[in-house]
Amino acid sequence: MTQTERPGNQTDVQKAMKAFVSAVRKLGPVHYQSCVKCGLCGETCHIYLTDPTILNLPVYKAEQIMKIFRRYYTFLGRFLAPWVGAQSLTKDVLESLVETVYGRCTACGRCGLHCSIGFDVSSVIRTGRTMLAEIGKVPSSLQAVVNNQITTGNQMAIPRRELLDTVEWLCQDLRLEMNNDSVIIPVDEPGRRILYLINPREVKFFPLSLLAAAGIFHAAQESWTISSRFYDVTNYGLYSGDDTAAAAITRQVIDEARHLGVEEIVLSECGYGFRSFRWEGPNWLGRAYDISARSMLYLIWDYIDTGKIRIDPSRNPERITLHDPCNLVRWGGVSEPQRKILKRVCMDFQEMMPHGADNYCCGGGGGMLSMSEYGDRRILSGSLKAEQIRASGARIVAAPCHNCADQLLELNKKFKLGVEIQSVTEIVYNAMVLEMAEQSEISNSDADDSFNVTPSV
Amino acid sequence: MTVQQIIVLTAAFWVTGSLSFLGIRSMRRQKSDVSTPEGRIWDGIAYAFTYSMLPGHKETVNRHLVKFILGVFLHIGVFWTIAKTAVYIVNPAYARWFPVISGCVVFPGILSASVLLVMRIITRAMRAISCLDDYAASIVTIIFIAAGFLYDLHVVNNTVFAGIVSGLAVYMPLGKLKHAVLFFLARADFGGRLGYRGTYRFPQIH
Repeated sequence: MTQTERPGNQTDVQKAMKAFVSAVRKLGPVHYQSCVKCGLCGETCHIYLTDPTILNLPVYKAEQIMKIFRRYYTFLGRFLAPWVGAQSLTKDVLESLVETVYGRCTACGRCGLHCSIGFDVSSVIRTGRTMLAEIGKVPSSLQAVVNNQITTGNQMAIPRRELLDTVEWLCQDLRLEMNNDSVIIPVDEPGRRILYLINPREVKFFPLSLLAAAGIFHAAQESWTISSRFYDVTNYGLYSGDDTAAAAITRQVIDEARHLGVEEIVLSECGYGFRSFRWEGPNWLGRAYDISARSMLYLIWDYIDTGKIRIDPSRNPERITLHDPCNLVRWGGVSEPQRKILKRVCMDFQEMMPHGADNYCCGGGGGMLSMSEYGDRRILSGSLKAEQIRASGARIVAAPCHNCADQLLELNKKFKLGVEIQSVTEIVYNAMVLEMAEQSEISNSDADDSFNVTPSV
Repeated sequence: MTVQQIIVLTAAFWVTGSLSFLGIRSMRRQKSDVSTPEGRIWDGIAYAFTYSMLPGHKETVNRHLVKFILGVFLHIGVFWTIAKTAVYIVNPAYARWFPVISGCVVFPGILSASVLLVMRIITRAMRAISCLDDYAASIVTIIFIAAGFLYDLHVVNNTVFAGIVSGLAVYMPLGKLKHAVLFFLARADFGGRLGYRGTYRFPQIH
């Protein structure tokens, strides 16, 4: 028995093993034993392409998990471990997994799409995160974000007062821009149709995105509100691998939506927020939601398509390209509305190559933005996205994810791309025909009916 | 039915049964997805086995065309030899009916499998991700295809052919060769999941 296998250290190993078994059951054992190790996945991975070391090869990363599977789930792994490269789970193995699963993979899933076999490589790698989360080995910077979400309701621990102050000045700005004093940003208003979840980055760093959304909602005469308690669309449990925390964060929002009595939850532009809430959330909670949830992009497209908002594409004359967030497009299935919107609201839309579900990760996914220890690798891996942006010849990059926007801003600076990064909502708002006088009259006369206006800020 | 045929038939039952058992166990999942679907599972599966595998779409193919072609030859050789084995169970003499075609199909397969094995040995990254089973799987496959080819040429007799085929069948569910079944299941499962989410829509234009 080695040092790491002594009973004193067994607790962590046993906990990790339990989490491993649970993760295997959730994903399905087929994904842990299908790999033929052809090694061709390397050139699908933005991290490997920008730093081609074996440690960055997707199959190498997944293999660190798969060899544990073989040890405990296969006949040869049990009785002839070296033959099949099976590996017992030890504390040392767990320690070595930290960098592999958190620092060398953004869980973007591109390797799985292009895999010769077609198994879910990134979910296999995420199993490592689940094991490490179980024993408290999540990098502290990432864990801090999860803790913030659990304890304060939002990942940046923004105090309620700060949110309300921000909403107040945004509301004032919006009234000026729309020349309409009846414009409000409803907060904690019960009985509205929509609960709009935002990324706390919108409060801290991208307030124009929230302003644009409020402007669009107003123009479309939508009945909506945000919550001052649980408004965070994101869920860092997805990244840390902690499904229990992820479920708790999801539950906070669902309970808030029920408390406010809304009909629908609309998710701001956030890739991992969308994936977490729309797809993983019900599975974390173990039941389907009783309130529907959809991306803001679908709603905006509905507004445009039905004429609820009027658009003048000449207001966006410059070339715009679109970044496809992995969790929104590849994992979330949302690839069409943003394209339909951009083709309608700007004069010159240019796709990146590749795009859609085949897009490259910007490098900021998987919690990388929070983990400063991997900052250099994050920027380096983003160089591929920077090249794509440059090749598109665009002046504006539409990024329907505030996490990606953060990374793209850094890439813009680092690689001197000379572009602007904007959310799709902002681009739409910029193209929106406000018809100020008429709109003002409509809003003033119908305000009580359509919004049940009670200035809440 | 000869003793050799009975042995091969038994091996065939073993490999079919064990791979079926493995496949069923592999697909067991704790819970099904409870999120509201955006697309259809079957669309995703159809997409995963068609468009998603086209050389023009799949980077692991179009960026590694040589390896892809070698892989195709290898698998044609394998499937041909499996078909030959099935015929052998019915009547060993029938399995030698098409020696020229067999040679044309199988010989590139043997060569391809050998080249891929050498590439695995000499490439540093491939060595780093390979274990003994990976090499063994390649060697066993080469022997299997070669046995079929040599059987046509009467170099290998009934007993040797039956022994080799049975040996492969016994080993198949234990190591990497089980991907013969798991490939279909993994691709269907992942494709179906992406179909459910609306990522894989069939047909999709991008």
